[in-house]
Amino acid sequence: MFRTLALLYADPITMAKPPQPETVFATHPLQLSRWLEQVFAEGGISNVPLLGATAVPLGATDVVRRLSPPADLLTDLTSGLRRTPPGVIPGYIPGPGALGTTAALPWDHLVYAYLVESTGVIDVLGEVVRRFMVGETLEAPSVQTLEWARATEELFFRDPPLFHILGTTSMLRPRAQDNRWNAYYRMFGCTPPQTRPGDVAAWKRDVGAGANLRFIELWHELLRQVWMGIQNARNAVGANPTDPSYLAYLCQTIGELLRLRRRGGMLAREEFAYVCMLSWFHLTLESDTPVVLDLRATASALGNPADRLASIASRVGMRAAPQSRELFELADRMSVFLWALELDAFTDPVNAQMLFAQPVGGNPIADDMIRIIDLWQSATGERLKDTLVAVAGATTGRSLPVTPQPTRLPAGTVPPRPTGALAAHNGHAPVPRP
Amino acid sequence: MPDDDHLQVNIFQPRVSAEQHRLGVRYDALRGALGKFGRPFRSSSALILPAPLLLLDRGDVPESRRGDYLSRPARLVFARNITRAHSVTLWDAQRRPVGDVYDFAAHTPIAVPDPGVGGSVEVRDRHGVTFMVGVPVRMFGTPGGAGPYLEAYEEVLLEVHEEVRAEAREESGAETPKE
Repeated sequence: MFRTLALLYADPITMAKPPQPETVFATHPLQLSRWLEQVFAEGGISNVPLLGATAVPLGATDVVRRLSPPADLLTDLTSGLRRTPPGVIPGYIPGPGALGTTAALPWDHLVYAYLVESTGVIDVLGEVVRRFMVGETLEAPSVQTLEWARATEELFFRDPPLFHILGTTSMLRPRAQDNRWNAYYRMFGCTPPQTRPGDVAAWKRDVGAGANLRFIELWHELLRQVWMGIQNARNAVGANPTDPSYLAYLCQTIGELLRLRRRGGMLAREEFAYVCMLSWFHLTLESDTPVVLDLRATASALGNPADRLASIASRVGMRAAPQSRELFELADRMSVFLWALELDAFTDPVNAQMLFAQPVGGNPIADDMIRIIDLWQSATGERLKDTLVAVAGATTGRSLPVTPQPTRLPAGTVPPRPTGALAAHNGHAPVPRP
Repeated sequence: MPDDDHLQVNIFQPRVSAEQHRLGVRYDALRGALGKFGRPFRSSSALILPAPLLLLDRGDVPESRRGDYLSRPARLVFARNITRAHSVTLWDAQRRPVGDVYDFAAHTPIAVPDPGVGGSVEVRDRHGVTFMVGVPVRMFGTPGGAGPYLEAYEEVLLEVHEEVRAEAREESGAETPKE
């Protein structure tokens, strides 16, 4: 969301001018906090009818309305954000029509937060903020960097104001990281790779059956099938193993799996909070912002956020994920694609052909898929383009026979039976297993 | 060109129907709505920005009986000219077509049926190929022009405002019994 705000500051009408991250960081955190509340109340993807006719994007039609304050209370203190020239500290102009609140502004899919967090950006920039605040182990920051550090701490490393949409920690779930990882685990059946050996997987506790442990296997299978389609898209002679119907079935299954975690509007608030948080850190690294300049981690105008992150991490004695380069780009691309999957855009075999078709004039969906496959394979090491290894299950490693589609959908990982005590105990002492 | 026609006849390229092509355009527009501009993406998308306005007028129907009733057709307003734009189609929330195909005009209100909440607008080129899509901002009554978003529309909205007032004058004049 903050990356969109940087675009809106520069050009609220067409978003065509270069973004102004420095203006975002110069905005008072109270205004940013109110802005997020206003943006959430507009409904996001629920009110952007570009794809999908039947699916309910956030799980319940009225989840946003019910989680937002009443209209008058919302406009009681608005963000007051308006177009601001570069280098000017944003002012406060009350009344309706604040940036991005005239119509619904969709926010990213939860996968965006998961992938950006997997780079280690929260740990690294959190450490930078801490060092700026407690001592002088880093060089003295510029006033712009100090502004950024203050806003970062206020917005993401302390409890938000009462009754605020970002308020996803409480006495019942006090650790913000556990809460984020819990959401990732439920939605995608996995957590960022920063887990340390001694960590107790608190985010898995009491999830019960509500985790999409099949997601990764299904996702790999989908990417393999799309790659097969891309390989054979221009076959003029011979057999074409691509099966759009199977692809559509995979898309439908993944869409249903993701929507299952959103029943009744579950995770809507968490998703909004987490993608906003990660977009702030992404924006910090997307260009040579004052923070990057102060930490001498510049990477030029055409540089990559992963390079800046790696430099900053080394300044504070840490190490970013080696796959950061892939993860930052994957985050943007998968966010769009997973929304489309949840909106049932490809559950029709005819529409599923658009995942690999390469007609004259181009196809933005297939272009995205090719890039996603490249990035995912590079980031995870999963050999998606190797069709001999591609077939899930028993045929792996055999030379013959290899069928293009498996007999059954990948089943995913079956969660191990809890040992020692029951996972949920309804407030009583742990019950020893017989 | 009807929707079920194919866009190209090159036998060496996969055939893509108009419906499939529209899906690609809408996907690209969603990418734009999510703010994915600039590296590694293109600097523009298929999303119509600024979003067209859909001006709705409930007329003089008493508030208690208004509901969704509209006394006059809605007016679709594009603030800027779109290169290649030739015609406009409207779609409801279930992605069913609404009304007919209308000539594209920038700065000039286009009388259209209301596609309802969740409706969208597609812009086609002169071959009938959809290449842009937008989510209209629904506005009831004649907007006063407040708010920075409406800056782009100010002149057009003034025209609409005058037009609506003229229509209202004509109607009231016709209904006034002659002495």
